[in-house]
Amino acid sequence: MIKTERKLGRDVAVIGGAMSPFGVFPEKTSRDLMADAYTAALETVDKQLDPQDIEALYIGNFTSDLFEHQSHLGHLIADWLGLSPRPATRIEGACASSGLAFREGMMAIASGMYDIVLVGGVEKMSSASTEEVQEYLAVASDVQLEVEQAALTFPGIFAAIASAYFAKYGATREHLLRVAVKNHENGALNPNAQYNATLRDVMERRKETLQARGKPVPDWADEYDFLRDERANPVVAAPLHLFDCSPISDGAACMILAAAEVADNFTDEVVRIRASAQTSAPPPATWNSDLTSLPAVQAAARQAYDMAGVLPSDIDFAEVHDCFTPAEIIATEDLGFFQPGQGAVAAAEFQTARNSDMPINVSGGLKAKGHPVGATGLAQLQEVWHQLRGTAGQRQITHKDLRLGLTHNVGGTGGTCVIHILEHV
Amino acid sequence: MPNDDFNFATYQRFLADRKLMGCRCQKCGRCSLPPRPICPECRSRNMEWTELDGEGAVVGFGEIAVVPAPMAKLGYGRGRPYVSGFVTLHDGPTLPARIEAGQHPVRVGMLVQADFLEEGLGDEAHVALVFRPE
Repeated sequence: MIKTERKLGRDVAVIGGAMSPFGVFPEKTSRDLMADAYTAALETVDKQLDPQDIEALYIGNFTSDLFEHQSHLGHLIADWLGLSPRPATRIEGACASSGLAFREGMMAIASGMYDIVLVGGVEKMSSASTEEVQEYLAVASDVQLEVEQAALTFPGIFAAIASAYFAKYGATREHLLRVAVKNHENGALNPNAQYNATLRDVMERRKETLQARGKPVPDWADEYDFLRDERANPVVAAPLHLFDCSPISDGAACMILAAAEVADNFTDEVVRIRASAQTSAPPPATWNSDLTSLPAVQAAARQAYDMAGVLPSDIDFAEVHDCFTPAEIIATEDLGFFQPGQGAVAAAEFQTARNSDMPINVSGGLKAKGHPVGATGLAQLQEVWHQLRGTAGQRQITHKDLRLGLTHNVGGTGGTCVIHILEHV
Repeated sequence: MPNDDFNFATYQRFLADRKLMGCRCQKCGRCSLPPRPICPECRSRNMEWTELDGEGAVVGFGEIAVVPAPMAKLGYGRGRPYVSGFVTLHDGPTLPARIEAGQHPVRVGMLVQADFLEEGLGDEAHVALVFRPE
């Protein structure tokens, strides 16, 4: 039997964290993006950190091999940050790569091996065409069966998941639109977000562009009208349309972890890692389920809540892996925030908005913040860290006290899940 | 013909012969498709071949309009999407596969039957597994 009770050898705290701006940066490589995130992270350490004190690096990255034709990223990044000859290990778990890097760094400290560790995540995607990006991301699924036999794409698999959810619970595309609108509203408050704009802003800009080109300007009543227009929001894999999908992004995120017993040297606002859980699951065909929940997430959530000794209702806010809009709805159910089938209702009623009882993806989520796949897990974690410390700027949650924040980072179509719970001590 | 290996290559050789061959665990009876060497249910390594009749129902599907390169070569694309998803066979296993329903609207729960489609030309000629409405 799998042991269910887990604890760290010693407590681990977060003492710094930041993300680079997410977007399209033709002149920046993975190394450059990582340097941006690292520089910003160093500045967040309250009492300063001498980079000399960093003992090891764990770098999450999905596939610089395909995107940049560059493998062996660990030592290059250590060099670029001026941290050679420290051990630098690249961690790969598809879109969960840097959630895993965070966990590996945490365990290295908990083991007693190191006191201070740098964890990073990075992906440089925009140098590839949309078709190439789709092809490269597809290698994170079961290539023989899902790609070669079934000609499934990533959006195609999440479309299948959405169709199963719709059939079971009577939800529709209208529920998905609300997720996109909500996450873009949050992204509009995040200066590092790729879409630093509401969907209403996106719609207005589209109108201006069409007008400037002397083309007919559609009479969209509001952003929902805009999203329902096939020309403005074309189908990718029905029922999913363009604005149901996270964008193609370049970006990096970075955090600095320290043994809790030395954390006081760096900050008076200690945030500690209360739980860390990682699971694997087979490809969807072997889930023994109807596709409306992700077994890796359910298992990881149970382990995380057990380790923290808390219930889903104790979590104050969460960053969840909304690579596609239905993924956010299902995540909020698998994490126990809403009953099965109620995630769609909650989304439609904005029960997950920034000022709600259960704010989900106040950063803008993958949807609006951007999804440089290997950077996403740490981008979520650094958002939770900033929110817990009250340093999230304009999008800071202010209507409730924040003690426990959760991150949910998924690799592929649910083959890997890593969940963390951070606590403001 | 080396058909004693419970793996993907053998599965594909059977598909080329228009046969849907899986394996059944001799200990717990779980049927796996494609065949695999270790039972995911009970971890037994005692497998036997079983031919599946290919009848099943659609669990979920998407209508794919932004298509991968091999499907673009076959003429699919934004103007001509195709349907793919997951089908659970009456014999137990679920399989990711294309669903060729023609003008028939695909829906979750729809009963389908496996079929073998000859596609591609020259070196790329192959037999593709698809499901059609019963």
